[in-house]
Amino acid sequence: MVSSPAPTAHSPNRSHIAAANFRAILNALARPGRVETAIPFRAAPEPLFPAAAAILTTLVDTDAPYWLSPRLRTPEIDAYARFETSAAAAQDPGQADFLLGDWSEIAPIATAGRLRIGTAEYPDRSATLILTVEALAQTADGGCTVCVDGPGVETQHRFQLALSEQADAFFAFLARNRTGFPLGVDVILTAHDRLVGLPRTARVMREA
Amino acid sequence: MSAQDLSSAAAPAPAEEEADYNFAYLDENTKRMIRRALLKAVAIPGYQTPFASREMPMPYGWGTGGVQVTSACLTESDSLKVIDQGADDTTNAVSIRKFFERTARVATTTRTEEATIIQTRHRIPETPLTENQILVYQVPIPEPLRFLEPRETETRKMHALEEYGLMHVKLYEDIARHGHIATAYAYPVQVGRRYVMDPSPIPKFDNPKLSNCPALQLFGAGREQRIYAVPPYTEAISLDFEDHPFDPGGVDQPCALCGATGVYLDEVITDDQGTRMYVCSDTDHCEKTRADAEAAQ
Repeated sequence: MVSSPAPTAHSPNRSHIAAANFRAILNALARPGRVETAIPFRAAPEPLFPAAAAILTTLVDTDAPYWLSPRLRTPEIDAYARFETSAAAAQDPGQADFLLGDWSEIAPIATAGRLRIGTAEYPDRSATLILTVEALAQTADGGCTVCVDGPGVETQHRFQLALSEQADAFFAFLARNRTGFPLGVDVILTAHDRLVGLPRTARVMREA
Repeated sequence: MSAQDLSSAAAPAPAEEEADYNFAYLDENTKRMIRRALLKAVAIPGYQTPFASREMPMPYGWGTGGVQVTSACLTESDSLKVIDQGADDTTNAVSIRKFFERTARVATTTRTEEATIIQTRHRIPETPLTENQILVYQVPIPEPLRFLEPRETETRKMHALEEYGLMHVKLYEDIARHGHIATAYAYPVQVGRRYVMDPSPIPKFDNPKLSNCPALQLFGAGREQRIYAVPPYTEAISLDFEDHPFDPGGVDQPCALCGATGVYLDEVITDDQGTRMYVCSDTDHCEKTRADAEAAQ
């Protein structure tokens, strides 16, 4: 028995867009390596990707500090992020729950051990990295092939990743991040309107 | 004024009623807070993530945690099923289903295979779940160690140190006293070989279904302000001993109504002479088995 309420005329509003985007993010982290898509309610200024803007506007507010990398910290993006989240970007990346930027900009912070990785009793008090990469695709589309397994993956998930700068260091970072479980950061890769989740439990391997 | 005028004045148009609520009842700030907690819960399987549980328009113990998780996950295109001990037609299930029909205007269903989100109290449906589904559990006491150690500061430390000896002692004492592990519901599991988790008071019969389930499983404890998760295809092993392996139990006979075997059965006393019958706890599965049998004839 299915009972559907009468169809409603409400046009997509912020609440519905946020709900759809959250499901995309939830699916991405619950099924690492699956490509999801997300677009924010209001278009974001370049070079902030729609998917990164969707994550920012869906999850961030005054209770969750965020940090923008120098490349993303343009006056337009700053104004956009301030308006959408009601909060100013944090100056200190070590205080942020969400960090947005290229891997090359976040790598030094990670190397310096300044990312929040949680505590033994509260591993959830850890940062989420929203990284911008050049391209993401579920099937062969250039770039390197990445295999993921771990919780959320039945046998193996594969996706295509184009990341030109410091790719080796990135995969080494993911491997190190995993060994620290339950401490660690969670990573969401974004490219245009696409995103891929790599929680700290994901075992990530690059195919030659 | 005629009687007809009175009745129309008493019942406002549904559209007006709905306009008073944000989509799915909770405000956006609250949803963001719950959503952040849900993502961390998924990233750390079996770990109890604290969240700022809100007061809901229903008392604690009636699924306030599950309702908040469902509300944070729900989208317009979802099809919601709510069960209470396997049944779609009991008070708790009916009232929560109506709550979301009113505040989110989502489609609702009683069919397991049609639902995209299933909120459950104390059962996992018999119909195997799929990758397109989320199972939301209502949880009264999220801490599996709570009855062994009442202090939250201590149980936090025990989880941090992966110190679960006390739980094994409890199961051992069951064996010493009763000859077998007497825990029949809320039987503890270890998720992803790390955190020991309370699967909520589901019968231990359902425990094997928790493990490597294609659906995402989310747990919400409203009064205790905790959210936790078992991601899809994640191991959730029921604790046991080599010489006393986990036994899911169950009644060794078919359902008296539909004849299904291998399902969880409720014992129903039918008179004051002690006559009893065993019927499916999952009402949807029971109806479907009977409909299939009728169609086959």
